[in-house]
Amino acid sequence: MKGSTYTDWEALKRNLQQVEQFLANEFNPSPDSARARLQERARELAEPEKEEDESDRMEALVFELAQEIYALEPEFIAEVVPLKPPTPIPCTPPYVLGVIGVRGRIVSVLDLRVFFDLPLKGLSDRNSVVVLSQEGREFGLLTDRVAGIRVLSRKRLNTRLEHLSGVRKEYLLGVTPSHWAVLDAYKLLHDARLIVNDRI
Amino acid sequence: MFYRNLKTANKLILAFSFIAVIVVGALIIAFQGLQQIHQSQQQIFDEQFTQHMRIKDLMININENRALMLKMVVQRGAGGGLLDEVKRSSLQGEKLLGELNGAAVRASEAQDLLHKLRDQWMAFASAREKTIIPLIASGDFDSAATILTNEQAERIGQIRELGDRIINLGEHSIQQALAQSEATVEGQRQTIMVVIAAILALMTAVVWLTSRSIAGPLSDLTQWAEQIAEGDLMYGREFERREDEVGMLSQAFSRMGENLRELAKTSEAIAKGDLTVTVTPRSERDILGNAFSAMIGNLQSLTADLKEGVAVLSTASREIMASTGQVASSAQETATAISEITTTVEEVKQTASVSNQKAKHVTEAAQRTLQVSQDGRRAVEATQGSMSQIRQQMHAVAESIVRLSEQSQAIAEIVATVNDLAEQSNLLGVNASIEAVKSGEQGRGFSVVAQEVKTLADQSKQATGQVRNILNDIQRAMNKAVMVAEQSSKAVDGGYQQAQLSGDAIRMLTDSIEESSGAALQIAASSQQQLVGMDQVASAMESIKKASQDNVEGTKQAEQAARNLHQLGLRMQNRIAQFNA
Repeated sequence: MKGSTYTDWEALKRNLQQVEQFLANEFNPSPDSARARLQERARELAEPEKEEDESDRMEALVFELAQEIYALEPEFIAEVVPLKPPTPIPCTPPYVLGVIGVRGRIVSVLDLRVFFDLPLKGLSDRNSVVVLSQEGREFGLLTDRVAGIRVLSRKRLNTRLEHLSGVRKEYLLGVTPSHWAVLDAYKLLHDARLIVNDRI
Repeated sequence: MFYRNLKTANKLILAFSFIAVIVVGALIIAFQGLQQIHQSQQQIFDEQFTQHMRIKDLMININENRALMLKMVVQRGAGGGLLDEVKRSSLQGEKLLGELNGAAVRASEAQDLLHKLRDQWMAFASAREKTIIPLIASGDFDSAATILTNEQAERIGQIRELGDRIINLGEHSIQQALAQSEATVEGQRQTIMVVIAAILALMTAVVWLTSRSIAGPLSDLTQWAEQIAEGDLMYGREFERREDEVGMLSQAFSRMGENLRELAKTSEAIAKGDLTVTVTPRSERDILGNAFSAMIGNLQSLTADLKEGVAVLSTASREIMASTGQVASSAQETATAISEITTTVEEVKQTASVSNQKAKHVTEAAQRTLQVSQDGRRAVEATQGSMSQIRQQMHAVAESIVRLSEQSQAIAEIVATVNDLAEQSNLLGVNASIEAVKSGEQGRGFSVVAQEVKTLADQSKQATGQVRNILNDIQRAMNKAVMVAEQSSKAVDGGYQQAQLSGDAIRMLTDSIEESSGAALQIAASSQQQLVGMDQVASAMESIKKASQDNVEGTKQAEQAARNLHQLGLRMQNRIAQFNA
């Protein structure tokens, strides 16, 4: 009540009414708007796909980790699950977060940031785990955010990775023009370093 | 001359004794006449009336006797004491006859008649004793009855006749005696008339003599006393020298006149102012003389005193005259001053009237102020009510905001759930894409669907993000609103407190205004009373003014009176100088 600001109660009421109406319309859309929306969607779907070179075409799962975007070939990906609080396992290397249960199986979760010596910036609340699986070997990679399947061009993949250094270099297939790092899932799966079999 | 020189008391005794003697003589003569008449009346009664009564009794006795005899005959015998009765009757008749004989001694004619009556009675008695009683005793009742009815009845008739004649004779003699006493009364009357005439003549003579010797000189004296009473003392009067009371009275009157003349001469001298005369009183009881002597003494001293007094009066009246002059001038000054005071009082009255008007205005203004203050109190009370209402409403608003906050919390939870769902949908889409990619050429179409699912999930996520942002905004706005509501509530509380304070203040103000109003009313009332009082004072001053003017008039009159008094004193001095003591 400070000052003498005069509240336009009528305007306020009108505003509230509009909001109410909007809400009503939003959840009960009019037939015209519904049809318009459906038509737009149909048009998008009806667009003919561009003819691309099948060999050049490469589909990959794109995800974010520590402000960087990585991609994985879906060949070895079992599934993507949301990160449940992992159960830490003692006497494991620091890049092993712990284990989680996925559909009745126990899957270990690796933190690539530790593995790649990337800066740790904490976990976002939208973490998900990409489960890799081949021939009985199975583990999960912690990701910040899964962007989804993207189509990449194999030819434009930059395989010269001189400027890259460290452990990461060994597991990369290449880098896309948009600086996405395409990881080699097979190598990761078959890397001896990732197999933990310490004796205490 | 002897009678004239007798004392008046003796004169009266002599005259009344003489008259008494004469009256007593006349009364004795009249008494003697009355005595004679009485005696003759008594004689008549004794002689004649008694005789008549005896004859009547004898008649009755004879009849009774005969009746008894007849009764014996009728009863055929002398039984039952009848004979004794006859004897007793006979004896009574004898006795009556004897009395008759003893009384009747005067008229010879009556004497003869009495003799005859006696003979007849004797014959009757002897016939009874000798013939009838023996006949009855012998039982010859018829012959006895015959004798009784014939001879004895005849005898009785003669006896009755004789008795009547005797009575007639007696009545005749009574008539004569009455005539005689009438003559005696006539003689007496004439005698008394003569005696009364003589007495009247003698009394007239005595009264004339006495009156002449007393009333004449007294009338002369009365005339002279009248003269003295009228104040005529200038000449004396000689009276004949007599030894009785009238003579003495005349001489005393003569001396009194002398004395009065002397006193009158002395008075004349005093009246002329000569107070040197002396009066010697004749005795200690000479009241007039003593009084004159004292009066002269008193008059001498009075004159002296008067002289002194008049001198003093003259001086005093002069002084009074001077004083009244001063008083008159000061009364004039007082009147002037009072006139000025009256004007001043009139001005004060005007002022009081103005102040009364002002007081009335003030009272009305106070009434209006009271009204306004009461309105103010009501307004403050209404404000307090409104404030209270606002506070309640503010509370309601705060509660609504809290509810809103809770609901937005619920929305946030819902949004979180939706977000989670979107996340899972996203992952689902991703997984679907992966599966589609794995299945190669057959999975291409599915890959599109999976992509689409993932897109939808992304959109959902974006929407939930937006909703979350909006919810955050809403939460901030609500926090702000709660804060504002709290401040408003506090402000309203403050306002309520302020209104309460204002109410108290206005109440106190109203009270004091009420007191002021009452005081103003009292002031107006006192001012009214003051005005009335000033009116009274003004009228009183008017009265005082009139009174002072009257005073001035009165003082002038008093001055005049003092002047007159002074002149009176001078005149009295002159008059007093005429007396030489």
